[in-house]
Amino acid sequence: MTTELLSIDRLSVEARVGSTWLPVVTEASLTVRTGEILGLVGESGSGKTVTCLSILGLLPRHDVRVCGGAIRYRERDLTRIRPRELEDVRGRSIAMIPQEPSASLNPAFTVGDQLGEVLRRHERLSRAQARQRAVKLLDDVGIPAAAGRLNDYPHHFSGGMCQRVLIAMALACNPELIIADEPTTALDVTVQAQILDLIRDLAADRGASVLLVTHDMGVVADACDRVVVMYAGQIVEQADIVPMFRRPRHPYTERLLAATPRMRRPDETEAPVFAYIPGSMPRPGSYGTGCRFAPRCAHHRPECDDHEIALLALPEGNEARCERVNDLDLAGERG
Amino acid sequence: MQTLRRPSVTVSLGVLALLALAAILAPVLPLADPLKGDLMNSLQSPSASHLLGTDTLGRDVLSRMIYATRISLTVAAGAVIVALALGALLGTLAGYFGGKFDSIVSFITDAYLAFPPILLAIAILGALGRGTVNTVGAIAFIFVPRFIRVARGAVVARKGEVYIDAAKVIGAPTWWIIRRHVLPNIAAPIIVQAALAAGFAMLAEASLSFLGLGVQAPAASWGSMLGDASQQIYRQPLLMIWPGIAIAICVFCFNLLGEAMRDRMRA
Amino acid sequence: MTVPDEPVLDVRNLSVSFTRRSLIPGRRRTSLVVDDVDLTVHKGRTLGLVGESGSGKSTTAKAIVRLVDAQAGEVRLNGVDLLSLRGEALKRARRSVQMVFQDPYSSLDPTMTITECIAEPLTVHRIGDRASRVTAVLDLLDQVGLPRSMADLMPSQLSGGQRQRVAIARAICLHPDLVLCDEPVSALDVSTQNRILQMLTDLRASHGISFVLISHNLAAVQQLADDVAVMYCGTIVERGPAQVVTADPKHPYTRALVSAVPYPDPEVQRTRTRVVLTGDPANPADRPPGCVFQGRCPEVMPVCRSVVPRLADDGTGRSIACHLYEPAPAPQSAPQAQPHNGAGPVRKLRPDTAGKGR
Repeated sequence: MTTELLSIDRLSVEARVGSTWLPVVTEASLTVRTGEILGLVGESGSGKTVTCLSILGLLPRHDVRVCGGAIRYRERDLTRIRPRELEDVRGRSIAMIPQEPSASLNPAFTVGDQLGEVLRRHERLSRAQARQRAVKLLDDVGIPAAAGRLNDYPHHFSGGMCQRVLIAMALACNPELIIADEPTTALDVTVQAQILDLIRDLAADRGASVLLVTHDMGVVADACDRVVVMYAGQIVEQADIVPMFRRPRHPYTERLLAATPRMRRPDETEAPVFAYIPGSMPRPGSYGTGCRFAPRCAHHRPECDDHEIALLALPEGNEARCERVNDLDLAGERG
Repeated sequence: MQTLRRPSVTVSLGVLALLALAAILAPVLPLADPLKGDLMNSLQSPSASHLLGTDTLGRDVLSRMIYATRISLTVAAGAVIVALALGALLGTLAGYFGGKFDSIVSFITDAYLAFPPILLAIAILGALGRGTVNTVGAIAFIFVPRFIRVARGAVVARKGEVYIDAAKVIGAPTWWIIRRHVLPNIAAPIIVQAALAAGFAMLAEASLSFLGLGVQAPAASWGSMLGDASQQIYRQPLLMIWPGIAIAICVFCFNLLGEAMRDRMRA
Repeated sequence: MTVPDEPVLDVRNLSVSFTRRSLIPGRRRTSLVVDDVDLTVHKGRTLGLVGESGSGKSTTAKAIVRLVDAQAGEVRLNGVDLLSLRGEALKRARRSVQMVFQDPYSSLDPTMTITECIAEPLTVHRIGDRASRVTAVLDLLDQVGLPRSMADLMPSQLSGGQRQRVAIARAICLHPDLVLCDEPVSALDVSTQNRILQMLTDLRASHGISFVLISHNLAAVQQLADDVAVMYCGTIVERGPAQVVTADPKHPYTRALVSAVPYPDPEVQRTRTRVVLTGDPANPADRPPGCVFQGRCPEVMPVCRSVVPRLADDGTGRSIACHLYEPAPAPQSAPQAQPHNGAGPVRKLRPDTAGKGR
């Protein structure tokens, strides 16, 4: 269980604003192990999507660029290989499930055509073979009467069903790693539950790893084995799932947990508290010298501001980027 | 705003501004009388006293060119303004209210666009008679459907915006919604269309005047000057060059402006 | 029964249908998107309206504020039927009911400044002069916690959460009695969502505004709502006090909604019994005879395929439209005056039959 499949090493990415380049990801390191579901958590602007896109080499070429670090996958550095090779990796070994299911399918082609194209491109199957595989895949992702739906167009499918089709496309070439970028954000909670079940089951059946990007700690609690939390372009905490929820080590993680909507237990009678984080995330280019979360942190001390805070490895095997990591005792879920 | 700062935009704005200024200041500039003929000195080549030479009646071509700018620019601008006002109004109403009114307006627009525009203008001038005002009307008439199309399309695209619903919820009357929410949001594509149309309107005026249907002598526009000069093409070919260049430059500038604005909108 | 004060909003038998014309003449499809819905909101209270996309919850709200036309029913606002008003009377009545939309990126006109956005209701209703409107806007910015310096910015310069606060400031500027919030936080980041919810709570306390809070996520609704109504395919399937409905959901659909909200604790989340619905929401254009939920219901019975369940009170102030909770199949269902008090032939649902566990 501890083989490394993909490891990102001190990845830095910058984006162009006018004529200057501003850092959007700063020295982010993370590892995806074989067979695990790793949650990458953060709010908009935290750099989580940019990190994913750099793995796939899908950054908008003229506006965002990798400016340091490496992404190691099977003895290759994905930031340095040729575009042709990267294309090959993208189709065969690493697949992506996008955020907006209904916007990610071409409305002009049938679902069967789109799925078949992926299969034929990467596996050199005949038309008939591709069709067979497509039916099998749609069946695997829980689309009822799959054979009959190959000739349907995307608009015949609901959002949840589109997401299933996209998952089928991602699975088409038996990837080792699936990157799911907010796969359920655009969906109803009821459908979210179905899709998360599906992702979890498929990953287990096929032994694939999943990098699940989300801003919802509820989704993380449901699906992930390990979590990486990003804030303002930096990784601020990295831990196994249970310890993270029991005892978050970074104040930002703790606030995110507190802010996550949940059903109140029947025995809770006190008025609800709406935990939120005051202020807003700093924009790239306006990061201070010290802790980037400091202006919004309830535990802020002057010493947090004078120097770059390092991501500190803790004895329990997790990591946190907090000056006061050893003297804070942050509350997690009571369990 | 970056697209609007590129050199082509600066240059075309500069050229058009210069032309407009010359047109406005024509009476106070040290120019020869554009209407005063001197038959002894007709069809002269450029010289120190007549920088661009003289025409058939011995009138100063430079002076006539500058006075013609007034008419050419006014006719083009006037036609575009009239077409824009009428087209934007009809298009907005058709797009916003939809239904029967929209079907009728759209049908007429489509039928209308099937006619060759210049022939239509010739027919109108033939019916109404020549003259500057009629020329403006005829050219405006051929542009109305274009503005209807652009305005209607833009309104239909924005009608579903949530801010329109939000305005209805606060009780805003329809005219308020059209004036405050619809028109400001469709202004951009309409202005682009106007810049592109201005170039074409200038060409249309030139064509009509060249055919002798537009501006009435002794007043001159670039087009009518071109028409007159065509009679003398073997004796003084330069006479055709000047208005030709003026028209080309002006249309080119309008088109550059329109394209730049269109790019800006897409960005 | 004590007579409570007149409700702020009283919706009776509201129905909305959409007709889609086909290219083939004569083939028009009419779908009943909202079917005979009753809702009541009292002063200073919040009603949560919950359901999946396509359940008709947004259409209900739009019919209340007359953005879509109702086919039948009454919408009484402070006793006056909004649906019967026209012209000036309607305009005047609109002052007391406002709406906050889901997407703060498209609900503010991009060509207007923040001041113009917030002051627009005042301008439209010709309240005050320019100077007094500017003062009002600054005051409203304070109330929603935005710096006064934002007054001259354009919407594109604000973040999603800030825009949503502008939308709320705009909604409360006419001192309405009722504000309908259609998914007010689902487009926002988690850390901002709660701030908006807190603000709504504060406004309810300080202004006595009643809210209708629409969401697909019960967790977002239950913290703020006093009452909850659950919609499925255009009908209300369960309704009652928020505490009662969320703590002990009865209708199989409500139970599925409750259990679909992930609990942010891996050990709790992975060990609890969940009802995972299969399939997609029912299509209003293609309603089955009988119960609308029959196609996805884990407890479906033969009677559900033919008889439409009626919304009936179970004695705790909660109403459920489900055959599971009706007296054993009787041709005429009991009138509402006789509540089930547990002693009657009410079939209780065993929790362990509740669908798929993990």
